[in-house]
Amino acid sequence: MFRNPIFLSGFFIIFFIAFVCVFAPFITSYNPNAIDLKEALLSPSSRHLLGTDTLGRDLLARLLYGGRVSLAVGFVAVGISVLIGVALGSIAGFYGGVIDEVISRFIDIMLCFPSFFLILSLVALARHPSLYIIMAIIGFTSWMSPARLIRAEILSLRQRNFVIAALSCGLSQRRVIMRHIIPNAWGPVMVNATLSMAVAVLIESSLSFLGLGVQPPQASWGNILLEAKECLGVGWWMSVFPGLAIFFTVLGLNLIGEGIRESLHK
Amino acid sequence: MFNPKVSLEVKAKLTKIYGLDKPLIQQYLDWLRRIVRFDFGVSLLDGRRVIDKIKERIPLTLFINLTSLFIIFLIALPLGIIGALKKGSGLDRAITVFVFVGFSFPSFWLALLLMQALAVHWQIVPVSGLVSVDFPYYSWAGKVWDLARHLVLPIFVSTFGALAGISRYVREEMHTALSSKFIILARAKGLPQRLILLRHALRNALLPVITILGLSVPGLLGGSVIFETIFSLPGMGRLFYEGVMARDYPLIMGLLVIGAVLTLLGNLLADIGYALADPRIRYEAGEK
Repeated sequence: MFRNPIFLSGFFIIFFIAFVCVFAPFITSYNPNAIDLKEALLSPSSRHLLGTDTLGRDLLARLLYGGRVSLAVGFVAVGISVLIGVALGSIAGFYGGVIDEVISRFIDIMLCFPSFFLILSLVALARHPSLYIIMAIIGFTSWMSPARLIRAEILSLRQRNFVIAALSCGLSQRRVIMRHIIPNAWGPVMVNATLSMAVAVLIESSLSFLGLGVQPPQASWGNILLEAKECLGVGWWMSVFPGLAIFFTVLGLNLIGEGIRESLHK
Repeated sequence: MFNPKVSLEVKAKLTKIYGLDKPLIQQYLDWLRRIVRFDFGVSLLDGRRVIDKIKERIPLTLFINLTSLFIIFLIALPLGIIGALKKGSGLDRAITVFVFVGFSFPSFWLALLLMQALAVHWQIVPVSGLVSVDFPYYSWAGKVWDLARHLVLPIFVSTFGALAGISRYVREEMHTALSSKFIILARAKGLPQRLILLRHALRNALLPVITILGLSVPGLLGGSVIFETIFSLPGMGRLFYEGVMARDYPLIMGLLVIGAVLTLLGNLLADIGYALADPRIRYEAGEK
């Protein structure tokens, strides 16, 4: 996997972005929420590397701290969805019968709704969408594809000789699932998880861009772009840099997913 | 959903109007009985029937999405075929790079950049809205031109978002079809390249593509929320956004159900299209 150039390029992009966001305080001395109206809407210069926004906040600082939010939302949301998906998918695939039927139909029902509609409805239900609620909402509306994936993997793995052997040795079903089946189904799930993390980052930034996600003054790449939209035509730096950050994060994650997929097929 | 300062009588009255005094299961059954007739109640915002509000918004959303699906199809097919034919060539690599860029480009950012460049900076197209202020006074052709000018950016943005994925998909399917045995046979018996491509490979590669187009309905509807909001277009997506902003629950539920209906319709069309394009499915169904 670490010899695959696609994987490596994606890995370095994500590593770089995560690194600068985590170590934001060492990179910029500005406070992302410090308002300084005398410094409002300055174009990029040596004092403010990426310029300032309408309230005079340093854009680089807001990008770095906002990146923490976007990455955290993506990571936790995918964690939730993979956890639910793997649990339900492996139960459905392994036990089959009525249990499988119930879980599969439930997945079908969830898939009937356009997922962005579902997410927006849940956001509307939550009065004040906090960061954790956004994570949970994205996670709870995106577990269907990992569930389907792992169910299909397990249906095919269950027929394989090593699983039949493990069962006939008298291992408990739980142990067979946890130790023999899930590790073998892990590859496609990892591919799916990285690709859905890219989607989760996009969803979070779209929500924040619509004003329904991360609420100001807390910065996120999406809500910086929302502020940029409100002063369209004045500060190009406000609409270019946050977009680039989202773009490279999503690109990096897509490359990682594609790289893992390629190395699995070899 | 009540104003906390509301008087007790009004509260009791509102509770009765919305049926909140009945047991939960009864409320649910009532709601279910109504939605099968597409009766979603009235909007909390302006008291109009939800279904009427949705009905007047659907045509624009459908028009934009169907147009962009058509354009996607027109562009994705040649891109995919070229990619599959010349796998590994410079052209194929360029297409792959384009696909990855397209995948990762946030559509709302693209909309924002295009708005900034074309509408604000160069002022080639209007910033937002569906028609100009003096639209009613235009001639017939002027109206069409005005609409087109307003819709070109939204259609471009919604096309761009889905184009990458679908052209990649066409490439994979085309590649699989081209490396199968019946193509080798067709080559061996000396059929011209054009016939091999169009009649033998493409027909097989198209099947999964039809399915994908049908299944892309929910994604397109979700995308509508974003670009209709950005460009202030009076479509279904913007209605949803307005509903969420105003916490207009009957409207939200109505749009969710209509969204699900459209999604299922997309699935159904995909199945029908599949059966029309693939004789094997027709014969199997006939034998049963």
